[in-house]
Formats: sequence, C-alpha cells, structure tokens
Amino acid sequence: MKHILCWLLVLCGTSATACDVCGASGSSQGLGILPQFYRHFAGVQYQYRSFSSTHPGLIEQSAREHTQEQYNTMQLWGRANVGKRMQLFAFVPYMSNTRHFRERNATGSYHGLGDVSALANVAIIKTPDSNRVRHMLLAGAGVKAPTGKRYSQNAQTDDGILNIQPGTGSWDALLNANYTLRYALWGLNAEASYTLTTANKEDYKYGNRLGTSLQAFYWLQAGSFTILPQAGLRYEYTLHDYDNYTRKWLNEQTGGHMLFATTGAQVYYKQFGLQFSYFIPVHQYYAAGYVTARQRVDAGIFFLF
Amino acid sequence: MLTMAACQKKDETPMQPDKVNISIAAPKTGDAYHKGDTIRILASVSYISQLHGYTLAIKNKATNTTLWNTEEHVHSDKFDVNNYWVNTIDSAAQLVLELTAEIDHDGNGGSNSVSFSSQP
Repeated sequence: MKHILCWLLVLCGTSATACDVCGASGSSQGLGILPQFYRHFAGVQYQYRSFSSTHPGLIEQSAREHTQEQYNTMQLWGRANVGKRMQLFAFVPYMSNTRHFRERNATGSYHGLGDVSALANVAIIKTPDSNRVRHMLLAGAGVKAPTGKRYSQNAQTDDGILNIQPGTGSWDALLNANYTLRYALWGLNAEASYTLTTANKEDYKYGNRLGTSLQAFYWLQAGSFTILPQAGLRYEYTLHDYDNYTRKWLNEQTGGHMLFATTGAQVYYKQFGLQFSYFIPVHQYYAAGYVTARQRVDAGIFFLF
Repeated sequence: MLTMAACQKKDETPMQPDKVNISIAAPKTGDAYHKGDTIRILASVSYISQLHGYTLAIKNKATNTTLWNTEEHVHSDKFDVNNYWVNTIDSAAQLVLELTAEIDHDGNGGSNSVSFSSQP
C-alpha cells in the first residue's frame, strides 16, 4: 500500500440513446479511482443507472407515456502495465436493462454483451513518490468496438429501443486526461474524457460525449487496511444524436447535460481492493427535459498483482 | 457547451407539406365490410426529408365519430403502413380511413383518405 501514489479515473462512454425523446442513458462510466500505478489488476465492477422518461405523443395533442429505465452493468476489466509509463485497459461489460411503461404496466428487458473497449494511457508528468507534493498527468486514447447485442436493426419503427440496447453498433474513439495532485494525506483528482462517436450501420449516430469530474480524497490507514473516502462533482455533456447521419437528421430531443454530486470510498487490504461510489444529480437538462436521471451506484472489487 | 451543440450540422430542408406523398392500397374506395370482418390497411408514405410519424383513424362519416385510431413514430423519409381494424359496426354506415403523415410535433404534414362502407 505504501506504493499507492497514482490515482486514475478513466472514463469510457457507453451507449446513449434514440427515439424521439429517450436518449435516456447518455451515460458515461466511471471506472473508479485506481491504485498502485506499477501493478496490474483485474476486477469486476457493477454499475447501476436509472432514469425517468416522458414520451410525448406524435403531436402535441397526443397522450404521453411515462417510463422508468434501469441499466445494470456487470463488467470485467483490468489493467496491464507496459514499460514504466504506459498502461493498457480492457473492459468487457454485460448489460441487463429494463424499461417499465407506467400506463401499460408493461416491462421490456434487454440484456447481453455490451460494447467492449480498450484504452492506452501514458504518464506525461509524474513526480517521484518521495516528494511531499506529488502530481501526475495521464493522458490516453482508446476505442470502443460494436460488440454489444442489438435487439433491433430497425431504428425507424422501434422508438426508444435504441437507448436501452446493450450495444450501440458503432465504433467510437475514446480520449481522456487525468490529473492528480497529492499533498500529505490529501489529494485532488481532475479528469476529462471525450467520446467521439461514429454512425452505426443503420446510420444512427449517438451524440459525442464529454465527461468531467473533480474529486477530493483523503488517506486513512487502519492497520492493514487503507481507506480512501472521496467526494466531488461529476459533469457530463452529450451532443444530440442523429437519426440519419448521412442526411444530417439531427434529433434535438436527445443529448443534454447532467451534474452529479458524488461520494464514495475505497478499501484496500493486501492485494484486494473494494470501491463504492454514489452519484446523485443536482442539476440536469437532458433530452429536452423529457428524461430525468436518478441516482447512480458503482461498486467493484479488484485484485492487484 | 452551447456552442458545441449549435455547431452540429442539421438538415435544413424547408418544410413542404405538399411534398408528402401518401398512397393507400387498402382498403379501396367502395369496399364493403360486415361486422367482424378484418379491414386490412396498407399504405406507403414518402417525403423529401425526415418524417416524424403517422396517424390512422377510421371514422363514421355521418356522425364524424372516431371508431378507431392509432399513431406511430417513424423517423424516415419513406415507410409502409401495415395495420388492420376489425369492423365493430353491425349496421349500414359510410366509413372513412384517414392517414395523416406528420413532419413535426406541431401537426404539419399531409393526409389522404379513402371511403368504404359497413354493411349489416
């Protein structure tokens, strides 16, 4: 644990949405604060996201529908060090999502392999561990492959289904930068990530996504346990989707922004780590106001080697 | 952030409701149905840009009451309609099927209709 110096918060985008309003997810995934820069690890992470959506009818006079969306992701992930400054990450998510239609009292379930992604990070700035004030800047890029299960190939008639499917069907590029400052037992982490999406084979293009966060953390040592409470803010901004990217049919009822307050903790014991994070929205405007994000939870366990 | 959204390219085709083309293949004008008959609705819709969806309604012409209606979001410049309604009328009545294709949420679009009858 003495070598725990580096903190890394990598953000990889997952699926956003479609239909007229939906766009529910607009989600980015936080991979948590990761320890021990020089060690490999493998882990399992659980993510929970929930949304409430209002679906306007075809025209103003039409009846509206209301839905509750829940996204559950169980993800295998790991990190491998290459040389002294490069780290490779891989993420293999399995998703189980549900949508409940309030008026119809009906629920649809969508589950399967999600989009697999990989990321390479390089330490651009890294001060020695012996310094009292230490800081590190990591930056990297990656790719998300369209491996996720797609329930429908017909985006034209399955309103709403695009944003609940495990897979997006598109290749996306991932960029991220992460800066950590530590002074004695205190630390501050700021990071930003950007997902550059491409159109899938149905010519649907999910909006590009920006995710940023700022977190403060503290280092507590209790015997063999290291406990790291943390708190901060997370801001996400998602551009509009395109129903048809070639024709530039912009869906202005998708995209938006969300600000979350976050808190959580990590616990380390020997080669094992546990992490838990809770997110609660404090401000948002998403899918033209038709989609409301609820709380999020991330939890995981990992093994360092 | 707002600038980023504003920079997204967007189809600027002017709205032209008169360019909505609706062809109803079934039912045909003058068809007659009895109570319990299935009335198959087949149509095709096209437009110069993105459509928003369509509504279907079957009305009693004499009373202008709506016997059945439905609506569907469709985000394309052309699509086919394939639906049905089971006739609930056990008396003679003149009926009309109205198909309206919507371009936007404000009700702009085009429509077409076909008249048929219910027989006792």
